[in-house]
Amino acid sequence: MRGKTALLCLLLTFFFLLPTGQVFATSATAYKDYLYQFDLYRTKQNNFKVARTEYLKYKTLLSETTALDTVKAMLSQQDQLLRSYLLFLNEKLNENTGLSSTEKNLYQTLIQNEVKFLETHAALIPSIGSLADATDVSKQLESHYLVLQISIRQTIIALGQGDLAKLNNEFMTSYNALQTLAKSNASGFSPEKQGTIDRWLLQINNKQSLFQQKMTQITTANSQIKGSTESDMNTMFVGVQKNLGEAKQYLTEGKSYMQELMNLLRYQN
Amino acid sequence: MDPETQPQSTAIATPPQDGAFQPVIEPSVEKPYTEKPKSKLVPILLGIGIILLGGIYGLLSAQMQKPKTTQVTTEPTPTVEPTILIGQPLSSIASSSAFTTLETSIASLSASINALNVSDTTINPPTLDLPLGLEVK
Repeated sequence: MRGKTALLCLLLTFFFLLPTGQVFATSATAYKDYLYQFDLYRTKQNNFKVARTEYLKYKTLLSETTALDTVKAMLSQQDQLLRSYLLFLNEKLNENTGLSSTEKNLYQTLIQNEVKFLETHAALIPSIGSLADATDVSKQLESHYLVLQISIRQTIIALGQGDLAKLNNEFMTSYNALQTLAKSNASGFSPEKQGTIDRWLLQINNKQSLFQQKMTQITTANSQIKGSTESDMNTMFVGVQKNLGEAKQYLTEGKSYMQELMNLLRYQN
Repeated sequence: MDPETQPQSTAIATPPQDGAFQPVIEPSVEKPYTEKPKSKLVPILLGIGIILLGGIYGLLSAQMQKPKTTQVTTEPTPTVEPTILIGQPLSSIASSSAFTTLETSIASLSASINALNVSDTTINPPTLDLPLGLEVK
């Protein structure tokens, strides 16, 4: 009897110690879901394209019914795909440690608004009764598509800025430590060496200032991303992305200077 | 003269001993030129041959042009490797824990900067096929 009780206690303990199996939605799982939804979308889109061709060619009742069924499935999947993509962006924002909570809230609100729009749009799909209805419902998304794309592009840029801001924090920590190290050992350096150290520290600081200026420029440009067409908007987006690359380049150069300064400190004179 | 060493041409030119002359080569009779009917098979075979040769050439040239390794474009970043100066005496700071810690943190920063891709294409949004293209009247 005692043995059985001990076994039961052991089993119960083991059961409570087991992981709860709770699924945490990370950006990796959200990305997997997005890719899965994308595959489904491609399949449904192809089905619709075949049915559309048949309908436009023969205009029979059967081809019209097939076109209607496939267009409804495709429109529904389109919304699902965009929602899964927005969820992925939302998770990326959650995981980004370089963005402040205010910045995160701003972009997460943008995403939430777009998700709401897609949910409202998706609710219209079951009531589609004809191909004309389907065209009307699709036009609602088409007219909003540019706004959605702008929100997406702004969030992507913000994520890049967050990554750079995180690197900048690491950069500043190293820079401050380097300054402290140089100052605390100043008595051991020759005047010439001290002059070189001061000059190099200033140059590292200049690179960081240039980085900061570039980041401010990016923030302004990101809030102004717009365009009458997707192509215009994309051109602006690519321009801002180029600025992100330049900002990264300043940090790279500053880091190289730090390595050079470390090398100078390593040896006597 | 040794018969084995005699030139062969002499033996051929010698007429037969019995005196009867037998022509070895028949006199050629010039036939009137008549145009042969063209076979349809020849141009077809030629065509197939050209296509085959072209195909083989195309395959070979494509194989030769194929890059051996995939080209990865990376942003040009200056890499300054600390030069180890052999024989130069190390400073007292170099052995301090603060120096070692800082060196590690700069190496970590360097790795983080290199790993960051500011134009990551995996994050790009999906492209939708809009508008529907249904010509409904």
